[in-house]
Parts: sequence; structure tokens; C-alpha cells
Amino acid sequence: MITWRCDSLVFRYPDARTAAIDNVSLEVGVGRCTVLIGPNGSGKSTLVRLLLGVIRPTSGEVVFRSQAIHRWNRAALAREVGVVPQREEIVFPLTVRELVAMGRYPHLGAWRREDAADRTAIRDAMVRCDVDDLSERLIGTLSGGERQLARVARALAQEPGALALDEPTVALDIRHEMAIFELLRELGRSGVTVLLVTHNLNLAARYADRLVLLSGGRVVSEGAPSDVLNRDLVEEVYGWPVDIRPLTGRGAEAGTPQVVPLRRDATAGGAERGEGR
Amino acid sequence: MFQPCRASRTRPSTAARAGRCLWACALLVLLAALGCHGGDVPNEGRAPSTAVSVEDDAGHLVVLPHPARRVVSLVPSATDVLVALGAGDRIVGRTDYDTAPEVADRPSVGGGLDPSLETLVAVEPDLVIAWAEAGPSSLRGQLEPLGIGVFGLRSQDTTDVFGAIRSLSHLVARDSAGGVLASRIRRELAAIRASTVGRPIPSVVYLVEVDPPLVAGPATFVAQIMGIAGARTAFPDLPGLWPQISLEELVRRQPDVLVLPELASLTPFVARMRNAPGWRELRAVQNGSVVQIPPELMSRPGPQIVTAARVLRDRLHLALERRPP
Amino acid sequence: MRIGRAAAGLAILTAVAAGALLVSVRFGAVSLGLGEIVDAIRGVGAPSAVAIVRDLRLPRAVQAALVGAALSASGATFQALLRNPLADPYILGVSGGAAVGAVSAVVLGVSIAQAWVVPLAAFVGALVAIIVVLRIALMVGQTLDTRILLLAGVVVGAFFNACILLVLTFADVESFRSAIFWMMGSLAGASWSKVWVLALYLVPGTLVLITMARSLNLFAIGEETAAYLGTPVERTKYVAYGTASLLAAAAVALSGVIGFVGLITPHVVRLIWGSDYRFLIPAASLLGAALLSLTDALARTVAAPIELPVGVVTAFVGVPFFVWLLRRRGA
Repeated sequence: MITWRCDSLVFRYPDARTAAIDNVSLEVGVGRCTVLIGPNGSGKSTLVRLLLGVIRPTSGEVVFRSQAIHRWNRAALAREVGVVPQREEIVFPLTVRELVAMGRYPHLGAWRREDAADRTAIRDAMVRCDVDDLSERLIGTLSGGERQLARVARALAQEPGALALDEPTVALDIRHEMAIFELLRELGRSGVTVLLVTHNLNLAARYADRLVLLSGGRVVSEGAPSDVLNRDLVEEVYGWPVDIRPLTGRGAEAGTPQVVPLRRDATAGGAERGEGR
Repeated sequence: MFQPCRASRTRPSTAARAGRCLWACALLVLLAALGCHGGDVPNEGRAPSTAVSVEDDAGHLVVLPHPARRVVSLVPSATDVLVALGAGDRIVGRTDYDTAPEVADRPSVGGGLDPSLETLVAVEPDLVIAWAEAGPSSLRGQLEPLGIGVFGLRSQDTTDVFGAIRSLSHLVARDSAGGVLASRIRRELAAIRASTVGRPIPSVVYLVEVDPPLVAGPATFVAQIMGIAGARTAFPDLPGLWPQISLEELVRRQPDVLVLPELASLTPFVARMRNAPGWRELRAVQNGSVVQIPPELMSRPGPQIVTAARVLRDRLHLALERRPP
Repeated sequence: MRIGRAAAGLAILTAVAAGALLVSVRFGAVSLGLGEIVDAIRGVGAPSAVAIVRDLRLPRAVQAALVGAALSASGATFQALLRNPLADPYILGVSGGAAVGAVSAVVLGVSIAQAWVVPLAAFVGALVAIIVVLRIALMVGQTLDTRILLLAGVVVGAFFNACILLVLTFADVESFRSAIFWMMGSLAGASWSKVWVLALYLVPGTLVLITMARSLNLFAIGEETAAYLGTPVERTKYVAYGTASLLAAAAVALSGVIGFVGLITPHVVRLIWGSDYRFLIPAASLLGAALLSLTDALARTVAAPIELPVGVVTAFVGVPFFVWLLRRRGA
């Protein structure tokens, strides 16, 4: 089953010479973790916003659950898709509980009060993201990691069938970053479709069912991590010499490709190889 | 910016200003019912023969069932007129800006443009003299329903002096006293004007403020008094009432005499004008032809106009005589 | 926030607003005994006392409350829409537009006979300002960009203020006073008809804003977040901007530009009770009503019979209180 599908999607910002998204066709299947990777400015965030229907494609169409995305009512869509956008600026005092409770708004509408089911959803989301101890703390007093977890909890409180996250682990320490990736894996297992944008190629390789590598608004490669993360392609797309090594370790993860960017002076050969093309 | 208001002895706030009765907004939301307050004039169907009706200077007909017995004057020049008409005892309320000793013991209702309405109503007037220049007065909308007549008085220039005498004398049923007062003022002004005939006509600038220089425009009461006192304004071509001019322009025009209001804030400057950059280039300053006049004389188009013209004439005369040959 | 706490908060604020109204009717430039006031409200007693209480003091107290409520609801809404704690009801140039409208009416001389023309012109001026600001913002981007809107509001407001200053340079006495009134604000012209007109804007306007409270909560975080959590962003923005501006325009047209209230009351409510707009809109309105009727009572009485500009009193009372609240919160 397909959650998102788009064909020959093109998006051009007004007055821009080149298209930000250039003829992208993509399918995101139910209950899978699809990770978008690519250098800065390759169109990852733009593609996600197109898939979520907050910007309209110049041509082509996005279909979510077999209905064109722009024909979805926003509240109905919000009951299906939880989103953790890249940036939010919370300037007014707001507690964690209040922030997470906003995830119920699509279910509540303008007037309905939270009932027992809503309160359960809010509490479960906070527990899953390990922010239930912080529920009365103001967002402004949290650490970066706690704040991100609270925002993920808000998306979970929506009880969505699909989840889109745009760089949710930027500037997080190992524990918080891993907590979020583990959570996403659990969600995927329980049948939630996960669409993730990240710059962490190594975690992407370990957690993704499928990687989509974007460059210059085009999909240059997609498939299993071991197929997408080959050295020549990564070096070309990112413009930096790398080594790609299989993960040595236990269990199912063993052999997953891991990307190690090289120091300019580390291996003369590597540097030459990088610049030689 | 507020200087012109200071000169006219009124405060800049225009609380009492302007019809803010938003019947029109009501119209917008189809609340036509509000319109029924329109044109509330105390209208005794069978008005006794003593009823007086006068059109005020805002074009509004003021009808009183009988000549005014209890008057609140919000316009100091009107207070002066009423006192001169011998009707000072009918004034039951004044403003903080009135200087006539005859009304010093009456309660003040605050400023002329933003009186305290409660205080005003509490002295139970049957007539309020308000500023016509304050525009469409919400005062009228608020007071006329309470049976208090509101007369909008224009008090800007010399002709308004006679208009005020005519209207006010009628409102207090002292028409003949008004006629006598008006002709006495006319006679005395003519005498002052005549006394200057044959003398050279000095160019004069009235500076209401010096930094930056704000001067009396040709349309002001001040400029008119200059004319009566045998002088002419050095700035006959300026727009507006109290325009701000550049010091350069003042130096270029070299007026014969500078006139400033007699204010504590300006007197120290007059004392050191001779050394002030720019100002010391003025021949009038070098010659000591700088004159100060009590500001209430120059800003109140009332019976004191005679005193104002006489004082200005005499001081200009003195200043010019002091000039070295 | 919890229902019980919200209900308690609203009950407290209602009591405060009612108390402020009573104080505002109790005290005035003319001192009347409690009995005299009660008699006057019932229509008996000295005719001048009846006139003072029923025709001057009561409508003024009520109008102050309504203006305070309208400005507070409007300010709270703008703060959410623009995600800017410094936003006030005049942020889209409403004040400058109103002043230009009023002064134009005076300059064109339409006002001599009809008192209602000037506030109507002020209202129209305020609406024109809002439309111009929205047009500029739409010309620049495809959608209403918050930053551009903020900038357009400031720029258009500055332009209108420049127009006023230009007019003042050449002004006759009448337009001068008209402009100054609109820039300083005053409740001295209060009347029952104005009270009804204001109520006609305030009641539906506030209800519309309360209906959109959850969307405003989301807007306070971000427009994209609002979309992801089910808000039709563009439509909601138009309705919210329009409603908040209408409230501000009605208040300005009737009482001039009264500063500070619309900026500060939403923050006070946030500091004490939090930021949920379902509570914030009605709570800030009640607090604004209390604040303005109380400060107007002070403005009328402190230096009686001189009236102080109400904006001055509002700032003198409000700033120390707000600073105290900030410190207490910080501690």
C-alpha cells in the first residue's frame, strides 16, 4: 500500500531560474521508514512541504492515500499525518503539556473539550517521548533535546498513520538523537509510515528501509542503504572525499554502510581522488 | 508644535473635540435607531416671547427659552466680553486660562477644549460658550440633551471681536450694551490707527518661539493688531497660522523690530540674543529693537484688543526711537 | 489549562472588571455621595446629579471598558498572528489611518455641521490603512508573509504620520486640534450611542476571535505548524487580521489612539495564567476593560477639573505593575 505518491513533480520558487524540485517521482509505502538525504539546498525540505501540501507544485501532483493532497481538508489531513517541522519559534510562555495537547486540535476542532481519550493520547505521547516528567515546564526552559522530544510528542498525540520529520535531530546529543531514531523505528514497526529528512547519513543507513538521495532537486538514487551509499556517488553529490565502511558489530546491523568523511590531509590519494574528477 | 496653542492660551489636547458620536458606524451595521438623537435642540414648542435664538459661528442655531442667566465660558475672550458687557455676574464657570479678576472666584471647569464635563454640569449652566474652532463639537451632542445650550464661538481675529460682542450681548439680552461696547472699541482702534499715520511703517516679526523660530503668519490676530498699531508683518507671504521658519530667512528679511511674548522661558534668551549665532546678525537685535508683550494680550480677540494695539504701538515706537540714527 | 483554573480566572477577572466599573462610576471630577449616585442612577435627586451620573459618568465608564476590551482582544490577536510580543492593535497602521481620515474630513470642511462625520472618516481611514497594508504584503509575496506584513504596517503607519505632520505644518486651528485628539486619545466624548456602536463591534468580534482561539495558539508557534495541525492558514489569517483590525478601528474612531492597553494586557494574562487563547482572549478583554475604566477614572479625578490624557495614566499605572509581575515571575 502506498501512502504518498508523486509523479514528475516540478516546483519552481517565484523568480527562480532553476527548479527547486525537478521532475521527481516517488512512492512512500505504508509502514516503512523512508529517509530523504542530500546536501544543503538539494530540495529535501521543499519536497517534504510539497508532499504535505503546504506549497503547490508548479506541475505534477502529489497524491496522499489515493486523493490529491490539495483536495484534503487540512484538519482531516492533520488526523492522518503528524509533522515535526524543521523550525519553530515559540516566543510566548507555553508548557510542554500545552504544546503536546495541540496535537489533539485536529480531533477537537474549535470548540470540543478534551475528553478521556484525548487526555490518554496526550499522556501516552509524552510517556513515549519521555517528556511526561516535564509536562508543566515551560518550553523556553527546556534543553534542545527535550524540546525536540516534546515536539515529536505533539506529532504522536495526533495519533497519525504517517509521520513526517524534517531534521528532527539537528544539534542533539547522542542519547536524544538515538531516542528519536529508536522511536521512529518502533513506530514504523507498528505500521506508521515514516518520512524523515536528516543529514546523519550513518543513522539514516541503519534505520531506513529505503534511502532517497536528492541532488539539485532531482532524485539521483533511491533504494536500500547499501545500494544508495556507494562512495563515488556520495563523493560526487556532496563534493567531499569519503570512505564507506561496513558496520562491524552485532546482529542485523552488521554490514550496513557507514560514511566517514576524510580529512583533507588524511590520505593524499583520497584528496586527489576527490579533486581529480 | 504646541506653541501656537500656548500662545492662544489653550491646551493642545482636544478632548472636547469633535463629534465622535458614531451614528455613521451604526449605519454601517444597520443600526438606524441610533439616529434618533439627531439635532436635539431644546425646543419649546410654545417659546415665550423672551426666547432668544442665535446662529453660532459653527452654523448651528442656538435656542434658549430665556436669555442666559448661568453661563460657563470656555473661551477666555468671551469671558472678557461678558465682563465688559456688565454680565460678569452671570458667569458661573470659567477655565484655568481666564485672567479677568471679576471671575477669579468662580469655579474652573479645567481647560477650554477639554473641560471636565461633570464639573461643568455640576454648576448648572443654561449656556456654555465653546470654541467653534474645536470643530464639530461632541460637547454639543453631550450637553444639549441635558438642556444646556452650547454656543460655538469663533475667536481668531479682529472681526471676531465684534461678532462675539454681537452674539453674546444678544444671548444675555444686553444688545444695547453690546452696541455701545462695539462702537467704543471701533472708535478707540481708529484713534490708535490714526495716531500712527505719517510715521514710517516698521516691518515686525512676532516670534512665538525661537528654537526653532515659529512666527505669526499673516492670517493671525497678532498680524492684524500689528496693522492697527501702525506696523506690518515681515512675513506677509507665509502659509499657515504659526509656521516654522529658518533663521537664515529671518536674517535675510531683516525686520525692523522683533516682538516676543513676555514669557519666563524666553526672557533669558532675549538677554543674550546679541551674542547668539545667527541672531546677532539681525539689525533689530544689534539696535536693541526687541520688544516683549504679555502673551494674553496678543492671543485674545476680545475687548482687550484696544489695550493690545495701544501697548504694541507704544512699545514699537519706543524700540524704533532707541535705534541709532 | 485546566477548566477549573480557567473558570476561576475568568470569575476573578469579571469581578475585577465589575469592581473597576463601580469605582469608575463612584468617583469623578464632581464628588457625589454614594446615596446621591444611587439616587441619580434611579433618576431621582438633583437634576444636575442625575445628568452627571446617567449621561456623563456611566456612558464614559462603560465606553472606557469597551474600548479597553476591544484593544486588548485586538492586541492579543496581533501578537499571535505576528508572533511578536511587541505587536499592538495599531500595528497595521490603524492609528495613522484614523488620524488622516479625521483630519481630511476636517480639512475638507465636511465636519462643521455634523459631529458624526469625523469619527466615520477616522473609521474609513483606519480601514484604508489596513487594506493598503494587506495589499502591499500581497504584492510582495504570494501569501501573507508575516515579516512583510509587519514591515508594511510600520511603513504605512509612518507614512500616515508624516501626512499628519505635513497637514499640521499648514493646519488651521481646527485640523490641528482634530489631529492632536486622534493622536492622544480621550474618552471625554463618551455617549450611550457610542457605547452601543462599540458593543456592536466588540461582541461579535470577540466571539469570532474566541472561535479561532485554537488556531491562534498554533499561529503563535508558526504558520506552517498551524497548517500541519489542521488550520486553513490563509483563510484564518484574513479573518483574524480583519477582525482584530476592525476592533482597533472602532476603538480608535470613537476614542482616539489610546496606547499601552492592547500591548500589555495580553502579557499580564500570559504571565499569570498562560498563553491559551481560548482563555487569553476573554481574559485580556476583561482585564483591558478593568484597566481602562479604572485609569480613566483616575485621569478624570486626579487633577480635577483638569483631565489628564488617559494614555498617560494607563502607562503610569500599568508599567510599574507589569515590571513587578515580570520580576515576580523571574524570581
